Amino acid sequence: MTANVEDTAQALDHFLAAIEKRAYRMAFIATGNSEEALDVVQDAMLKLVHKYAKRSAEEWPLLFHRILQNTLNDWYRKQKVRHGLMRWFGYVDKDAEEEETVEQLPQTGSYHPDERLGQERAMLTLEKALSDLPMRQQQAFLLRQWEGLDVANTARAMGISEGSVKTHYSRAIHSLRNQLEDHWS
Amino acid sequence: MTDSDNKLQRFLDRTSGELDKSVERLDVDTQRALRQARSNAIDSLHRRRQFWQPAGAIALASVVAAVVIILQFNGQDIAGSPQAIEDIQLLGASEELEFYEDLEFYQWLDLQGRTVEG
Repeated sequence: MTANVEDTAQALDHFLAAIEKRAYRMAFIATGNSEEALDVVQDAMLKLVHKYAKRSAEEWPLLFHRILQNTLNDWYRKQKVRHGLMRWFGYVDKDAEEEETVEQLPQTGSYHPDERLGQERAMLTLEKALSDLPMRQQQAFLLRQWEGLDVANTARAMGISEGSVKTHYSRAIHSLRNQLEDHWS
Repeated sequence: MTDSDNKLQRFLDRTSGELDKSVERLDVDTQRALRQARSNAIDSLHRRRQFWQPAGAIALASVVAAVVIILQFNGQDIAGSPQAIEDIQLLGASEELEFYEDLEFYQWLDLQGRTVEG
């Protein structure tokens, strides 16, 4: 193996290590399921490494976000089809519903129980409000507000126009404020 | 900045803060699974290189040999023809092969974008 490949591997490893937890949180909010979120993040990592390892490291963040959002959209479409078919055949997936409820509770942490409970409650309220948003609003909000991407780069990551990003973002903020401001004041 | 703007900014800062905290509190099992996912992805880079290096060399040699044979059948003097040498360089350029390797992914990205927009 050449030194060049080893350097690229190391740079990719550092890049992925820096973004993997945030990517997982985004995927978890979108899927509501830990296993699914991990699968989505792993897919996105593999696609980035497979197709864009040779691109400059400055391009990786935006490319990764684009891949992650596309992978989440794929997941979302498959879920829609699956649930549509299940409903068509009159089948209710009770296991999945129960699993989702349990999965929403974080398993470990190093905080004082009261403090942790308060923080978890605040996060669960936010997580629920974000999960309830339509997929595009959720993506626009997380990329713009949390990842700090500007409108142009959010549009590139989502593969939509800048005008659409502004609309989705504005609707997301409106919806989240309606749901959360009373809880948080 | 108006009171309304300040209130909105405080709200947005709080959402980002909660999300940041949720990353810090990520459980050990998930962190381990993410490290494993990253390791798998990086390993795939090594595996891909090992596969493509000999395959790429064979493909390149075949293309160059085919061009040389065709030019000789056409009665051209390869050593004395700058055009022929340029063609061989062009056909053998690794960037070109990589571009064609990536075509499938560009098509996929394009399709994703169009499907989501639609």
